[in-house]
Amino acid sequence: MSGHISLESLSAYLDGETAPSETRRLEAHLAACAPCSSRLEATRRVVGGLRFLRPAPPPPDLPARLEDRIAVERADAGARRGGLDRLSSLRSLRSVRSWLWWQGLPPLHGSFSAARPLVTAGLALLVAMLLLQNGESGVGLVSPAPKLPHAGPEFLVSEAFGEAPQVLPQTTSEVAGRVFVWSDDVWVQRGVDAGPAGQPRAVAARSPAGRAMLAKLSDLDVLLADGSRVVLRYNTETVELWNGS
Amino acid sequence: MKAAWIAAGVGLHDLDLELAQRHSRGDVRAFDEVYSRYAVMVFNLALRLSGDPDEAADLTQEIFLRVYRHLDSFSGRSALKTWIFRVALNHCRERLSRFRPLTQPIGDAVDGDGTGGEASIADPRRGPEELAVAADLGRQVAGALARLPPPFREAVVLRDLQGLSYEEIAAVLGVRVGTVRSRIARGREQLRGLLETMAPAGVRHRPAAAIVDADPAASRGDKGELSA
Repeated sequence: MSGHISLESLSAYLDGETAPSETRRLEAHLAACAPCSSRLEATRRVVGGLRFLRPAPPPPDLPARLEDRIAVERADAGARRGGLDRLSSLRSLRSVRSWLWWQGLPPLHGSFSAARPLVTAGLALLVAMLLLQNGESGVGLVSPAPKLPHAGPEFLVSEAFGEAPQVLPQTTSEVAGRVFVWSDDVWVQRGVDAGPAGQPRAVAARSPAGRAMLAKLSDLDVLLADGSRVVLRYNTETVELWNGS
Repeated sequence: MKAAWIAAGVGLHDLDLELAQRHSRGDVRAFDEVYSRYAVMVFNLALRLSGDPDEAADLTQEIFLRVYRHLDSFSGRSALKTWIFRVALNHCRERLSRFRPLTQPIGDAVDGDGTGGEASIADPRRGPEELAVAADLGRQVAGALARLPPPFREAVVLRDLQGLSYEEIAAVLGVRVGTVRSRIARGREQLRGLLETMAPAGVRHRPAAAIVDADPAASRGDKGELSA
């Protein structure tokens, strides 16, 4: 082995994450190279230092708090069954947003253009009207779908006045060489917003078409895992994949 | 154990899937079981990503509420543990990036009484002086960890505090194993640099060395770590 061992290899070696052949090469080098042995020891000390952060128990009242929230959730679901379904209204609203987006309006995850606050302000107004129609003072703390918290007043007010969050979400994921960006509770394949006009075809992950897609890009299920959706270019069309049947 | 399940024709994820199916059938014990299994894991992930015990408690509650809502959509394609880590990480990223900075100044990462997890390191077999040193070093490490850029912090926390394999971390983060390897190495290297700059005035020895000297566990298990 010429030169010194890279930090990456030393770190992986320490974790037992190197292949047997690589391990043998590294050990032969370490036996003869003081600087590399010294760097390995330094890395080992850092890992050793992290042992001081032992697991802490969750607060003892957490189960009770969670139970209360779940009870509210159940009651909320029961109340919804008898009246106007505000969720469906919000879903319709989200469809409108999605439709606007796909018709070529400013991308939801891009830089804030001049038009975006206006569009969002209009949507905020629509949300307020829908909620007033339902006789509710605001979006409930507990929502029956993962999308709802993002449509809460805090988020919309912030956007309506053009105040971007101080630190934008940095989340990106790579799946089979594609880069996905976490954008407004949707994973969007980078570059896909320049795609053809019109609404993307919605495909449920558990449908035959969804299963076929996941069989080819199995890592996608990790992105879908928390109920979020994934917008991607699949063959020649744009597809919105969601975790449902 | 794993081999026994496979020999019996039971996939490991099938057991997780069964738990999810029980939940969707309304079996309340299924969610209790999920909480019992993963509460400590989720709370500590939230704690180390947020650096704040109160925030971590709120995050944990919200994460389990999400798990409660969506457990029936768990398909068993990955382990439930990976799925829950993914949910937890997404929620932490969303909430922490939207409402507050991801990094905190050194020393602010945990509160004064060490409830950021350092209190839990108390081992009755260790003397008071040793415990005080351990608590102090724990605060230093927590402070340094809080200053790492989020991608590196996530990788280091998942590996060194949660004990996930590189492959599991890749699944949780949705990146390649090579990316995980790089992030862990760079995170540890930055951590080493931060710990060195955090040596108290007048103490010029390397703090990372002091940490290991004070940690009785650090001297054991090296051979095991090195085995491939």
